[in-house]
Formats: sequence, C-alpha cells, structure tokens
Amino acid sequence: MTLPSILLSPATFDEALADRAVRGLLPASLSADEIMALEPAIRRRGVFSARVENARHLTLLDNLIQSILDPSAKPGQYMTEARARMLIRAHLEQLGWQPDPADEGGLKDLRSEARIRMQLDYPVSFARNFGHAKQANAPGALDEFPGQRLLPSYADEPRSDAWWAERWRAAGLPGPFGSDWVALKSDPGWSRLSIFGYPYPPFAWGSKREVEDVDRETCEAYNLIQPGEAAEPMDLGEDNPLVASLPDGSPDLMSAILAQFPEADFRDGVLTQL
Amino acid sequence: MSVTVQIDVDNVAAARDLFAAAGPVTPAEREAVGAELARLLQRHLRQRDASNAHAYPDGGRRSHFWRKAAESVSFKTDADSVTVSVTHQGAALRYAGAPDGIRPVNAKAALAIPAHGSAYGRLPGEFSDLRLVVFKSKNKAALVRKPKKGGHLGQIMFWLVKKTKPIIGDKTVLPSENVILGLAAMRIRNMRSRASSGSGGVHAAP
Repeated sequence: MTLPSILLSPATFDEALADRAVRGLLPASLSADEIMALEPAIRRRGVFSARVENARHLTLLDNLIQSILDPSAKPGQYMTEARARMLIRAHLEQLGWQPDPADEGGLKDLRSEARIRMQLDYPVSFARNFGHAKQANAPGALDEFPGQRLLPSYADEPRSDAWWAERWRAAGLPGPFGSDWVALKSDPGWSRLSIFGYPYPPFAWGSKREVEDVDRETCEAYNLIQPGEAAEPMDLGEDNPLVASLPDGSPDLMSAILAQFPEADFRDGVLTQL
Repeated sequence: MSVTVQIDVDNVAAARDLFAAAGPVTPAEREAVGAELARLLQRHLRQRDASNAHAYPDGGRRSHFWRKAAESVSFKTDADSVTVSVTHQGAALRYAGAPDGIRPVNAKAALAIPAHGSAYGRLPGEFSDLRLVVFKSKNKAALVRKPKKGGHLGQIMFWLVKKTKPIIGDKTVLPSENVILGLAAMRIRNMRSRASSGSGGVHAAP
C-alpha cells in the first residue's frame, strides 16, 4: 500500500463555501467607504459591491465566486478567474452599463480590470481564509496550533514594516518577537489589525500578507500560553445573531443596516443614501 | 479537479514506527495532523510561488497561481484518515500532467495558448485589440495585438491549437511522502508526549 495516497478527484473546501452560504444579496448605492462603515458582522452577511444596484449583476458575481471556490465542475465548465472576469464584462455589456466618462478605467468603472479583479479576489480570499480559521478552531488543531503568524508580504511594492508595526501595536497585539509576528488566535487584536474587522486576511486593501498556524511549543516559548493551558478559539463572530443564516432580504438585517445609516433607506430593494 | 493527500493515520504510526505509544489515533490527534499537513502544504506551495518569480521574463502581471493554490488548501478528518486537499483549479493538472495533451471540450473550438507574459492567466476575450493571423507556411494561427502605427505584425499574444503538446506531470507540486509521513508522526508523538507529562491542552490526552 502506498502511503500517503494521492487522489485526483473533486474535493471541496466546505468551510470556505459556508462563508458564501450565509450571505444575502444587498444591492446598494453606497460608496466603498460607506460600506466599510457597516459593522463587519453585517458585511459578512451581504453580497454587495460599492454602487452596484443591479441584483442580477450581484447574483452573477456571487455565482462566479462560488464556482471559483468549488473546483468540482466537469471539464469545460471549470471556472477560472480569467473566465469569470470575461463573463462579468459580457454581462455588463448585456446590461448596457456605462460608467461616467470621468470614471472610465478606474475603480468606479465596473468594467475595468482593476474593479473586476477586486470584486473577485477579495471575496474568494475572505472565504478561503474564513475556511482556514474555522478549521483551525477544531479542538485538536487548536490545542496544537493555538497561535497565528503574520507572514511577510509578497506584494511587488509592499507597505513598510514600520506601517505594519504601527498597526500591530495599535491593535494591542503582543511582540513582535524579533521579526516574528505571532499572537494567539483568540487575541481580539487580529480583528483590530484588519481594516475590515475580521481576524483573518486580507487585512487591508492590496495587502499580500497571509497567516499560518503557530504550534504550541512556539507560543509557549513566546509566553503567549502556559503549558497545560487550554487554547481559546478565534472569535469568528458566529455568535452574532446577524451571522446566523437569515433569509434573503431579512427585515432583521435591513433594520440593522438602517440603524447604522439613519439617512439611508431600501428603495425598491436597493439600499440608497437619501 | 483537486489534488488530495490522504493518510491512513493508524498506518502512518505502524509504518513509520516513529513513536512508541501504540493505540488508536484520537479524533483530536487527527485534527492536529490535518492542521500540520495543511500548514506543510501551504508552505510548500508558497515556496513554489516564490521560486517561480522568473516565470514571465517579458513582463506581465503575475497571477501568483501557487499562492492562490496555497490559500485553497483545506483538510478533513474521518474515523480512519486525514485528507488534505488543494482545491484550486489547475493544481491537479500540474501534478498529474496530461500525457495525451489537452483538447478543447468543443471539438470545433481551439485552445488559446499564451505566447507572451501579459497573456498568462488571461483569456483572449479580455483583450480588445486582438486579430487572427494565419501563418500558412508554418500551418499555425495566432491571436496578435494590432500593430502600432507603421508596425508590421504586432505582438503575438496567443497561439491557437487543436491540441496541446503532452503535459508532463510534476510530482514536486506536493511535498515528498517522507516529509508528509514524518511530520504526521511527529505531531502525534509530540501530542502524546505532552499528554503523558500533563503539559498538553485539554484535548491532548488520547
């Protein structure tokens, strides 16, 4: 018998797909900054993109993201990022969508490569990293790997270590220990490190810093956990009632959003700034 | 398609004989082995991405294929085994290859093979300025960028083919079996050693 066995068959990352499963469509006229002002728990429940009011387009985006995350399709139906980008462009053309001339080619232009990449890359990355965090909370995995390490950036032009050190300190995270940026997974500082408010990557727009599990031995050496001490799980916000599976367009979710945006309303199902 | 490493955990212990304590492997130990091997596979794929920095000598945006593959690594456990999978489209093809080459699903269609750094990770439909050029003498067709003013041909972006050359599989997509098995066994041994000294976490005891 060969050990280990190598299998070439469809396998799914269920926990990553679960991140998409709890989301409902949220067409909105809000800008990116306004969406970022929403509670992270509310953002985790929605499928939206800045100033995208067309529910059909959001449905397409959501379907494409789920297809990229699920490689179980048959040959000829594989969804690569390149194919998804092409389908998004084709759909916008079908809708007759046009940007303001001043916005052409920029992030406000839904057809631009930069915007389309953003609409695909971030949700896919959030879903996979949520999946890792969820798996890392399994009791046996957590006991052995109670910590998380912020890895160096692989961006072509990364932000400086000083920028990250400042954020790290402001988030109240321990260390860093020399050049080793490690904290317990349960440390709420991880959510403060992220501009999105989640304890897993991506931590900022354009950030190419990933994380990896850190074993108990290292965490003990850094005095983050004591021998025999139980490791606490990462808070993924799942106890928040908004993250529980709510039906699409749930009044609970809508009223939670409106509580944050008293000057907005749902007009024909579209979240609109009045 | 995904590429998955599956380990029968009890057999790992028996086959490698790397730790003395016999007995069934607990669910917590399987989860720890899953996390260990997922981290190993992620590190391996990230390293691969870093060493592929020369991939596009003529420029173009790097797709960081292997970084994305690393991000897609997940693990599962059941009563007998631990499986760690790379769920990123294309990883299985790189591992196993395609000895007969690849043909388009639609027999009337052609495959567009990137011929320039800027074409990697993209489809012809993402370019707005491609035209079809047929090289009769070479019996070849290509999608070519419209030439600049006064230019003759323009940059060849994609070759159009009915079938690719055989694609050789690359077993180094995955870490070696010895490393996988060794780490799995080491993790279980560490857990048991800590449990016996009373310094493990609450789930460490078998």
